[in-house]
Amino acid sequence: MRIRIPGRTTLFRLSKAVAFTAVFLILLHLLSPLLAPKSNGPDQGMLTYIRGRSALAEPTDTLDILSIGNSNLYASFSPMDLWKSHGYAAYNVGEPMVDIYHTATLLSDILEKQHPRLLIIEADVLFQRSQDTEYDAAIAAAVDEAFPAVQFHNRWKSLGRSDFTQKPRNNWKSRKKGYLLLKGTEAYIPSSSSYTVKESIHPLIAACADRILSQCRERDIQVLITAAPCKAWNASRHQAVQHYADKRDIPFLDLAQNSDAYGFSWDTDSSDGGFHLNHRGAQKLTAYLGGYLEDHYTLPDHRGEAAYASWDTDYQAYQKDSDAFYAADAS
Amino acid sequence: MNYTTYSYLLLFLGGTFLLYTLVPQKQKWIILLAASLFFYVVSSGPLIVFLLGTTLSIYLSALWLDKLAAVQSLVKKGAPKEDRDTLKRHILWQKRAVLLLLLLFNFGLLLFMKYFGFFCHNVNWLFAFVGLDFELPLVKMVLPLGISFYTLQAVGYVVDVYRGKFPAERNFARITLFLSFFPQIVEGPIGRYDELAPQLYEGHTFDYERFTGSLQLILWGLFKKVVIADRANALVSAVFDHYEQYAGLLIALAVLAYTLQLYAEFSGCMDIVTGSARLFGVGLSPNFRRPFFSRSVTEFWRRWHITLGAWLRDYVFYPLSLSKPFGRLSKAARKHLSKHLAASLPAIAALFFVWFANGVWHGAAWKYIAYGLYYYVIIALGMLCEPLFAKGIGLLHLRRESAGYRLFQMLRTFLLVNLGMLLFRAKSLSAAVAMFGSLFSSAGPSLIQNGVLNTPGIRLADFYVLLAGAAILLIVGILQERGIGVRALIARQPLVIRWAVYLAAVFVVVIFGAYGMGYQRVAFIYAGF
Repeated sequence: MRIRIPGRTTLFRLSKAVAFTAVFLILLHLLSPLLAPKSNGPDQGMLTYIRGRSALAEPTDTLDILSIGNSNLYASFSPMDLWKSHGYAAYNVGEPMVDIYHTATLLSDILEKQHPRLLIIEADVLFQRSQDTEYDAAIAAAVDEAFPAVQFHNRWKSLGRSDFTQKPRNNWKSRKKGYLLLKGTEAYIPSSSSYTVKESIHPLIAACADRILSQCRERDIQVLITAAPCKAWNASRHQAVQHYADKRDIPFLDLAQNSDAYGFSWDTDSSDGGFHLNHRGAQKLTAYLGGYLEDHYTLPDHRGEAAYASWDTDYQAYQKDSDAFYAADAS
Repeated sequence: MNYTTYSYLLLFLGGTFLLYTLVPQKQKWIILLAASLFFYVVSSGPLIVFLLGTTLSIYLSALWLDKLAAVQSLVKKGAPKEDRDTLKRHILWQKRAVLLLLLLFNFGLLLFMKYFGFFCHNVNWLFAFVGLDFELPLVKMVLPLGISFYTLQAVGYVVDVYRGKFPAERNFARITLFLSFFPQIVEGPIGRYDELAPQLYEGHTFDYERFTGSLQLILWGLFKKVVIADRANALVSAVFDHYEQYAGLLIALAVLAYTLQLYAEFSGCMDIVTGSARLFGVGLSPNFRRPFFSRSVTEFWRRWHITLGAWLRDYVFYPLSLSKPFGRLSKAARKHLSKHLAASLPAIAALFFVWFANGVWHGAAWKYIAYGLYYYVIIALGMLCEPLFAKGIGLLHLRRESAGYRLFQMLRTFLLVNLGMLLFRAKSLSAAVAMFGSLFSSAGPSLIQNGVLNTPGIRLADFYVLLAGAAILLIVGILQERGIGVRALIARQPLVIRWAVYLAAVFVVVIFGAYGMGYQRVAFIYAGF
């Protein structure tokens, strides 16, 4: 088959199209600082990004454990409990329904400031599929990273005068270190049919997770994959993650399958009928995870250190919320 | 693969266009065929067997009909006079049998896939109503992509071969391309073989003007879909999905928003697919011609979803209204009733089937049947009462062509269309009735709360974007109605102005588009039919 090469006139005209595209991209680049949020906080039109991005506000080199994932992560793992029991400085970098591509970008930003010893990947993010194709999700994440004006385009609604003058600052902190304390109890009755679904990790998701792993290798960060209980979890997912972890020689701790080991119950430990854990469930899971981390990793206990004094203050506030949860639950 | 995604616009369309441009002219159609099959498999997976089954059925039956037509002409020329009539009747019978088989196969498939669940549901209801303890299994079928559209296109092709409009296509691959061409497989437009096929097979070399014009059309479609339709969807869903909580002007606002959403979305999709096809030098039939400037419901349907209306006209209305029973009805009416009724009764009778088919085609639910019959009643009443209207207009000394009367007609049509939209979007027929009743109630939240406009599901800023979008559509529509082509007008401007306009258009889509965090991507509504 002979391939036809376009003529000179056509090439000249095409160069006009290329020039137009270049002008568009330059303008989009120039627009990005205006639309990009000026803080990592909720008052800057960050929508649901607030929890994960609050890690950016932590002082440099203070976090030893970073956990990445979606709502399954930030509702099931409580860093403050880990602080109380073991003195580990852990942080949840989780956002609702976030995909692995956006997670990887956020993690890269955080790793510029932090040098954790352990990265925990909550496995549900490996099955967080796009509304469209995975290719769309991957391209969208790349576009969002290159041109924040696209990701934050909806901020036109909340633009103020300061957006034109102020530089971005990461000054919004989460006192629960990225954890969302979910109140209420709604039981879930697991159905046997959910265990018959055949699922696998999409190759694009696996490739992105591999990039995260290689980033961790370069920085000498150990990696652990965990899976918290949720109604979407099934044997097929377990097998897919186990296979992925085995091939890369990474430990996988399935806290959904081993939930009996820490007294988890779907009757009392879910806030919304199996979608997420409530605070009681999260505390049970965190206590078990803390023991596992103590047995398998060498992580520093920062309790009593002056640099971590604010963690004790944060814990006191957290304890109040925790007490309020049990008080409300008992009534 | 959604037409508004990166994977379609950048990877698939861009890649296909590049390949199409580079390969020699004779092989270009093969690229389109491969791309169309790839698109279908990615979007609908193994359900492509249904598309291929339909393709094979029309390929074989058209060839068969062609063969019979050849025998027919031989009979006309060479058969002895005494045998000629018998042979002609026999061949005609065979042709009809082939056509009937084809119709049974394709419409049977469509009916089974699309309406079997609806049928079972209603039969079960009937059994329960009469106290029978028996239930048909409720099977939920996954519909092959575009089955409602490609079935009509397929049947139209064979009927045209049957009528001798053109000979059958002898190349199976080519007929597959005609039926599966990726820009039109999801939502149409429903193509005609004699118009579409030659363009598909011809192979077009790169043309810069066509290239930029196509991209502009796609951009215009994206504006309608992403900026207007997907934004309106949040308001529409908030009210229609919880209609019990709303009443009065808020229901009216939601109905207007839905009309805007459906128009922006369907016509926007048509712009995207027409632009996509034009990249390959293929012109698709227009599906919209500024329908909200229509002065009657009949005219509205000549301007809205044009290819469906034309298909129903050519393959349902004409065959019925020109058939012998309808001719007899006309004669009887002339004998016993009036001249006016003699002319309109056969048409009114045939239109029942047209509008019933229109309603049923849109979906397996009573509300869609009611939707079709709603328009039937309006049109039939309009035809029957035409002498009365003429008399009234004469008595009132109204000038039909005056601007005021034309505006009145447009507003009347707009109101009727919006009532139809209420029926179309409501969750069910009973919900539509309840919503219609709520229109005249003042219960529930009011349109203005604390001095601010109440816009359920969306922020006020989003509502302003909707208003601006609707205003742009209106202005462009007025210009086009006056014969001014907006794109041609921009193309005549100096380069700086041209680029400024195009860049502004791209940025409007990027910045004001209802996508990303906080928005759900909304599937094309007509793709669900």
